[in-house]
Amino acid sequence: MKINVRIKYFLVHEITGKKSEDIELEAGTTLGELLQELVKRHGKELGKLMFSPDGKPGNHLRIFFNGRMVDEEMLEQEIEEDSEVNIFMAIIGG
Amino acid sequence: MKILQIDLDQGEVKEEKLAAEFKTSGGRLLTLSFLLDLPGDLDPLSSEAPLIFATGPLAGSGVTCSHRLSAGGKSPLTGGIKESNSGGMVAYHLARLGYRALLIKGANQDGDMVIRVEPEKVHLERREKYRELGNYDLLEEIRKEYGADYSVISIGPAGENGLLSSGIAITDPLGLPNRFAARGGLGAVMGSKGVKAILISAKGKQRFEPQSKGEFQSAQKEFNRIVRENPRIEVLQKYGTASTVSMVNQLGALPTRNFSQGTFAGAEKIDGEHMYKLITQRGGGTPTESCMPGCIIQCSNVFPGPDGKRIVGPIEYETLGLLGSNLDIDCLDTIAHLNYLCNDLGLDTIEVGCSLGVATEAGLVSYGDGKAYGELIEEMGKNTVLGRVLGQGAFLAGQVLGVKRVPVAKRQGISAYDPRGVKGTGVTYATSPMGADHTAGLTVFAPVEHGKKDGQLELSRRMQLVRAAYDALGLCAFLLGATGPHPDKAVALINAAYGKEHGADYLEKLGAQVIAGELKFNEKAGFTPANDCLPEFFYKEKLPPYDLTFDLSREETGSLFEDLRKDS
Ligand code: SF4
Repeated sequence: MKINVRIKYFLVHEITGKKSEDIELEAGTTLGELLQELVKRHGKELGKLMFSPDGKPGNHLRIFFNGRMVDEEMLEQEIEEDSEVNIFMAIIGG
Repeated sequence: MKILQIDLDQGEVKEEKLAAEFKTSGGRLLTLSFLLDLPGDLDPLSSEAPLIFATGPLAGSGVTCSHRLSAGGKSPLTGGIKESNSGGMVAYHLARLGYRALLIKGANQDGDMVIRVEPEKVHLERREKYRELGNYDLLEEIRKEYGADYSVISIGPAGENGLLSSGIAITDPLGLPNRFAARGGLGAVMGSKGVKAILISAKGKQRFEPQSKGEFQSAQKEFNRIVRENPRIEVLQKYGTASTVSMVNQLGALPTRNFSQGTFAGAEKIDGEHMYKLITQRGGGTPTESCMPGCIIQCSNVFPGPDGKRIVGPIEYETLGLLGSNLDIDCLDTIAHLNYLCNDLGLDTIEVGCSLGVATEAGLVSYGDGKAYGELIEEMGKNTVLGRVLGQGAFLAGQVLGVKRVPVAKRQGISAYDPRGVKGTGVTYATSPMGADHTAGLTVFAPVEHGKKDGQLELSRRMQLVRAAYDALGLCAFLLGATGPHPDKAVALINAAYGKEHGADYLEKLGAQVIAGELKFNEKAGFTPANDCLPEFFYKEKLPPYDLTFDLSREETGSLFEDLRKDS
């Protein structure tokens, strides 16, 4: 079975070339696998922003999965139909 | 380096040598040092209350973002200590004249004093014709009369009329009064001294001479490299602090409709991307500008109207939150106009945004009505009864208007992070000796779950200490996203400049020293740990959409600085 997920990029579109994209995934795909897929599609630069050298998510990006900020533990979560993934450049504050 | 002291009661000007203990610090620590021994019941608007402007020890050097200016005094808004921090040209010019600080005591009863600091002499002059002028017209007049070779510290009518929402304007590199030591009502302190403007000559010749030139150059190169290579800095440069809007909205912490909601339907219309698009499409403005010499981040912007003419610049995140989402305004042109009015009248956009949110809740105006909000801000400038009620800040406006949901901590309006959605920043609002201040230690850029209480006390404390240290060094806080993880690099600059051997923990110690002193000041002024909390509604009202409350107890926040209170 296939599921669809929409990824939205905030201030990251210069790397991804787009502000959002819809991706079709196999049911059972985990969030970690999805993020690796995004790195494969958009290149190492996105990978460096996304993961710190020890592999933890959230180096320079903040990733939200259904409204929750993604931490290491959440990478094992399975993605369900209509899940929302929003990816932001980690801001400095204002 | 010297301290310039001006006594307006006596009409006296004198210079003092900078005390040795301030060789490697200044800014927020130095302003504090002039306030610590004053009586606890000091009236902040009396002639005995000093107003101080101080630079950091790297001012005048070429180090990026090293010319922040600390304005310090007793806050008439909170009744506690206040350091309000600004960019602009003044710190650089003070350093070129050989001053680490400028201290003003006493008062001119006529309210029309212009202080002009030249390399050889300080002039105390009266200019009746400047009274009641807005900051923009004032600067125009000053340029006509004195020429363009000055940076200027000034107040608008709000400061002259003693409004507690008034700030102090500082000129930017174009000579416009666009930078603000906005918070805590220091504009009213300057107004109470009868000083309308302070002109700092750009003709100072003092050079920054590091003790070890070679070491300083390599420390500077390394510091700049870390800043330049950080991908987040690139984003800040292009989109400014407005880049913060979307993520805070995602966190459910963007103040909306007087802090009754955490997400704003119009967020994408006021965020950094949209602002960038409008600025570049319209022409006549710029998305990227520096507020001081040598800054390689250049986070500022100039926002033009549809006709390509400058409305105001910069529009900052805090203004977008408080004069935008908090008032249900999703139009950047309207926000720019309200921002311009505040700058011209000399008002703090955060305090005004909080106060207008309270006024809306009281039914004086409807959410989203930009025209009516503009008229209310103009009332503040005219000093009408209504203008005074709203211009005295959100706390007093709430009391007069009988509104319960009043977003303040220590009577100061809360900046654009709802404390229920960014709890670390909520801890900062509750515990900072400054009250709810966006410059006291933001936590939103840390990779933590901001809606959960775990770890937020420690995070807030860490950020408050490092921020206090940066303020005492005159460094811009926007460096922290890049240089925060490398405290040794900032310390290397100080060591090379002054021949010291401070360890990497120097920043932490400096930050602790600042906050301990500020706590001591506040204690004398009557504050206790019981004041380190937020208004009731943040603990009780669930913030949509994530139904968050502020669930750190008053005991937890009240004991955050227990050790520093003991030390002080
Ligand atoms: S980063 Fe922004 S606020 Fe800081 S010094 Fe540069 S322009 Fe000014």
